[in-house]
Amino acid sequence: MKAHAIAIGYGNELRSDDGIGQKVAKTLQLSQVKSIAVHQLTPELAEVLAHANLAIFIDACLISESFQVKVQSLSPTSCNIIAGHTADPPSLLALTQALYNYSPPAWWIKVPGINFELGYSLSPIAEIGVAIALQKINQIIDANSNLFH
Amino acid sequence: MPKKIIIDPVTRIEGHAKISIYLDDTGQVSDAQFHVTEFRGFEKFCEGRPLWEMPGITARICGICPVSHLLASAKAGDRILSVTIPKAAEKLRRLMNLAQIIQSHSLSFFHLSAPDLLLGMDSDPAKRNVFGLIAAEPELARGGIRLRQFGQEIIEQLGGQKIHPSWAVPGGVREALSPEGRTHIQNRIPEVRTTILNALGKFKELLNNYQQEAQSFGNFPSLFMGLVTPDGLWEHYDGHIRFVDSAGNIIADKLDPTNYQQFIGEAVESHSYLKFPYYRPLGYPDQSDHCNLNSGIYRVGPLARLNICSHIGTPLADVELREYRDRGKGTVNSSFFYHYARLIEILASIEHIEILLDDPDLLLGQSGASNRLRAEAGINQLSGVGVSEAPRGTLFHDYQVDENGLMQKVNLIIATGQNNLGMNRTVAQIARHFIHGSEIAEGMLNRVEAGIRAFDPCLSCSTHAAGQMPLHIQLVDTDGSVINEIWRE
Repeated sequence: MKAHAIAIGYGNELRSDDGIGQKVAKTLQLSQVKSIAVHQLTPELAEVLAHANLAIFIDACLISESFQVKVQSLSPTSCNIIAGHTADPPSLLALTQALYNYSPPAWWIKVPGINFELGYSLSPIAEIGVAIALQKINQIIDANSNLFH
Repeated sequence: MPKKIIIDPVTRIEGHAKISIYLDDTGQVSDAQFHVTEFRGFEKFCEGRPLWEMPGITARICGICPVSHLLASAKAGDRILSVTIPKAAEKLRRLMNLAQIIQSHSLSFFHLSAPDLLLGMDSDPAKRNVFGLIAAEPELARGGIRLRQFGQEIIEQLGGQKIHPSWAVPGGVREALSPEGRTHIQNRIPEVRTTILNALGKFKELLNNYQQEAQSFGNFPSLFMGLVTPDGLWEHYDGHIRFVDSAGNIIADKLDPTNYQQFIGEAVESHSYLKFPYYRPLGYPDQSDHCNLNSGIYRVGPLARLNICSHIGTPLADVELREYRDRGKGTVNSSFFYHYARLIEILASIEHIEILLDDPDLLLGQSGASNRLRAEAGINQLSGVGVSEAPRGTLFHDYQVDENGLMQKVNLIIATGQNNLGMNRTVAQIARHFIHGSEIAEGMLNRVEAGIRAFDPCLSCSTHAAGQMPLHIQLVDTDGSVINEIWRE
């Protein structure tokens, strides 16, 4: 039986705004969402995804890529082959599909950051982005509530 | 006209490397080199840091084997504090190290090397990857992922997170294994044991298809080094150092690993950021001297650990070890057999974990068991060496501190670095065997890469020497001729 939704926030907490993903995952408190904060997307997460109705990935991006929090729906693609122990969300979904003949509907939330130097804390812009990302997750869950019944 | 073939980057290894293959005028391979192009510098930038930070800092050398650095660093700290850590702490450290071996070896075999081994070295490159493996052997692929997950979960149970757990510290460890965690691990043992036995069976079936590779993938005489127990059994955390030669003769034994500088020297070559450790009594091998039995070249890691030990000490792994030695004709010299040795070590680790889980010293808080996990002390020695077996081989952390515990000097001898000479020899041997004249098939170049992958090198860990970064920039035209180059030494 599949679990409900899974939110995977990933990134390096020692690299300032690169810790955005983990911060979102650790802050999120929704009863129907299992939240995982990890350093990297590793192949073992495929088994976790195989048991989820819905998946949301959260990561930082450069502010030069986007000034706003972006939400992108995903489909599995093996274009970026998992060559070792790390992957990106589309290739992890592709691995899940290949292994278990199933991958959940998925979204990728990218939160802009401005400081990726060594450090423990998030910039004010990143903190705002975290709050917005949490709202976006709520919206995704509400819009797909049919997946949990 | 002499030519140079460059494989850059080498794929499906941890870290960044380049291989240069040199052809003579007749198109035959004259030489080959394995260059490590990464520079990390931990030995230098750790100077001035407090001893207590070192496990956390050095764990971040690598995302695959952070536990190895965590443990070696904590052990160096134990020496500087001059403490004997509580029994429970030692056994918990052992548990984590065994889990580390399982997860790292699983990654190496199932994700990095299995596509070559199970799909064939000449198979379509577009499919010779984990997805191709899943299509061909779905159960094996799923089992491999769950096997690695098993190792990662133990690390998380003990250290709170799978990567860079802040857990082992000078003097002991921070947390015990909970009863729920112990039960969870015990419940998974039957499944992972079945997975690794199936993988071993599959690998042994395929061995006949790789006779040529077994003969030519780093099949040369060398010494082998690693830790053994006082009784000469397979060891991964403590014990003493043993060297054996290519025929299995013990040439040095009961060496104190903390006195490593007496028997290990470190050389530097201009073509790589990776240091070249060698067995000091026999000297640094002459690079033109290919198979001199008196050279100081030695190998570490699974191949070495199975060559130096008398036996493993667990029933299933010892059965596999006997068969392994039969197939390898005694002391195994072919680096191709690193894959086989890795699988046996996974099995050995699973069996050892099963034994440890029933050890009363691990059952903290329960009747008769101690609650102590950490020995408290200040700086009592100004230097300390911590040694343990990382998945890839013996790892040394050598620290010198001042009276306040601030690092004055750090020397790291990494497992992969100790295989550097072996990897170079392997690349040259494979290139000579498989590359002839102007015909260079993709499968041939893949075999050169595969030879490196047999060692499962972790290049991210291995490059820490200080100094200005040497650069060599080459402009190479379409027929492989170098038409311009710039050196900065």
